[in-house]
Amino acid sequence: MFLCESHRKLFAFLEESPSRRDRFEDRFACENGGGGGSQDMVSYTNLLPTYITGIQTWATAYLLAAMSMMQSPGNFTEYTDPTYAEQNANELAGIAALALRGASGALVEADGKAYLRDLYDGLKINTNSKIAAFYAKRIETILEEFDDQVMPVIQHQHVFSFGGSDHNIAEARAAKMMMAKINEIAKMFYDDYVHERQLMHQGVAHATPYGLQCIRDGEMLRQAGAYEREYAQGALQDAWDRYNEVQILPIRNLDIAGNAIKTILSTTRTQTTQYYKPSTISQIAGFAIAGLALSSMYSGTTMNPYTKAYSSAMMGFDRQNPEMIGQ
Amino acid sequence: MSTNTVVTVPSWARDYVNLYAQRAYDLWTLPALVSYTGQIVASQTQNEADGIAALAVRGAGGDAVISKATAFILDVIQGNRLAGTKQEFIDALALVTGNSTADFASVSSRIGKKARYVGDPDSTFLAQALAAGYPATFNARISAALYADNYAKERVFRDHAMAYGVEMGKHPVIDAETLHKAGLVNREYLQNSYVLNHKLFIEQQEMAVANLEIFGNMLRALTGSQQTTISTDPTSNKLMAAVGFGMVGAYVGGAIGGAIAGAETGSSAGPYGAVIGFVVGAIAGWLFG
Repeated sequence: MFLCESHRKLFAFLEESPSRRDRFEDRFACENGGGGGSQDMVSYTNLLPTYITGIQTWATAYLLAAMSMMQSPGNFTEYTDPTYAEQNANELAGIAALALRGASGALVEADGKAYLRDLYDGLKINTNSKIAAFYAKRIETILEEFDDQVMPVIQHQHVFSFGGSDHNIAEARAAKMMMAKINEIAKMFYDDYVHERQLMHQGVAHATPYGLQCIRDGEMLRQAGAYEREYAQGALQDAWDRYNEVQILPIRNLDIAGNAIKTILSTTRTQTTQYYKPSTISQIAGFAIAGLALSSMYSGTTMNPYTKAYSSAMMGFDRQNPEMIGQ
Repeated sequence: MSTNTVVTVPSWARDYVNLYAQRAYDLWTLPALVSYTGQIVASQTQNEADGIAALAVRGAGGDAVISKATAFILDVIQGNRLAGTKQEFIDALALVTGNSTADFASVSSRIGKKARYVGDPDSTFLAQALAAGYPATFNARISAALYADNYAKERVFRDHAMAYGVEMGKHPVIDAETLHKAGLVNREYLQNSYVLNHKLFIEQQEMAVANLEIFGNMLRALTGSQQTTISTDPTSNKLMAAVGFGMVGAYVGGAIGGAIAGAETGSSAGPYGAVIGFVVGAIAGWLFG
């Protein structure tokens, strides 16, 4: 049934075009290609859907196309354009600026840190030169007041006892009040101390931001270096990838043909049917029987071992003298 | 036994198949796949190394601003400034009292008068003598006031310093994290180089297999393109073969015996021949059938 179906398809196929007949004749020729003197029957079944007109031609074209894609230069060829972009001027300048900032820090930040260090060390306390000048002017003022107002009044009150004890006591009392005022004015040094203490205290709020700057600097410098290295690493990776890509190109081209050939091989199904082959002795026995039969047929003898079919005793006449029949 | 070889490749495609196989062999033996030999790990740049070193130094040694601020806040919180024993306070107090004393001299020099007439009982600068003790007295008073004021203000500062205590206390953690990061980024670099070198190592080994498999793929693709079948022939039953060949032998032997001896009725040549032929045939059938 299979053979009939197979041949029916083959004949139907052969009717389509001479070129296809040629190909099928080639396939039939394969039956004798194996050698070994086999008497087995080999049948080839074309699995291509022949209801699609021209499918075999297309299949041939497919294999041809695949082979041409395998052969030099092949379908997959090396990409020659850049695959890794150059760093532009802005990027390079940015990295350089980042590195510079990280390596050298910022002047404002450095000065700020210096100031804070002095502040926390108390070096800003009692260093206000303007306080001393201001103090001097305040003293100058009260002395002027003392000279212009206090002393004349005392002298006037003691005009008739000038230089007397009362006069001296009155001046001493005035001096006492002046001492109190001087103390009050001199307290500005303490006030300045307190003010600086407040600034010292408030300055602690800046400690953390400024104290972390060196970490930022180090991080910036490291980041700048990392940008450079990452770019360099990317270039190395790209070179590696491109190398591998070029390496694999002939293999990919080869696989095109390999896949096509696997596809073509799957379009044909081969079935071998083995016939029963009798043994040699069986064939000899058969030939012996046939020979004896033919011999007896043509010699006019019987194969009965007990009789001679045409002996004179059996037939009543001599076979060599048939004219004696009836005698 | 029989051998039967069938090529299943259509003859029109065989040249292509040969070409494909040859190409696969050539690529395998070239070899077509050789692992990459170029540089795969970029070196650390100087900036990166310097940056990491700076982080390490910062993490290990801290920062002077932080350390001074921390010491200051700690000093305040511990109340070391309440008593007014710090040199800054003593200096400020000295400025107050010293300047007061010094400038009182200007006042002192303006007072004290000689008597204007004869008989005045006091001819000395009585006023200056009376005022001589004023600076010490007043300085002592104002000093006491400033000590008290300093204490009150330092208490306020101390209270405010508490707000910074936690923040400054975090800096050792920041230092530690910074130091950790310096080590981490170096390790990451090292780890990345390990990964890449390992990848190349594996690729080198796999590349050799991939190169081999160029040919292997070709073999797999063409496996089945030729089918060689070696099969044993079917054999008959020995007993049946012996019986069958015995009968043939008997027939042939009888005929030959009859022919040789002249087959006549009653002749024993035929039967003898048949018996001999049966035995010979049966043996031959048993052995070769």
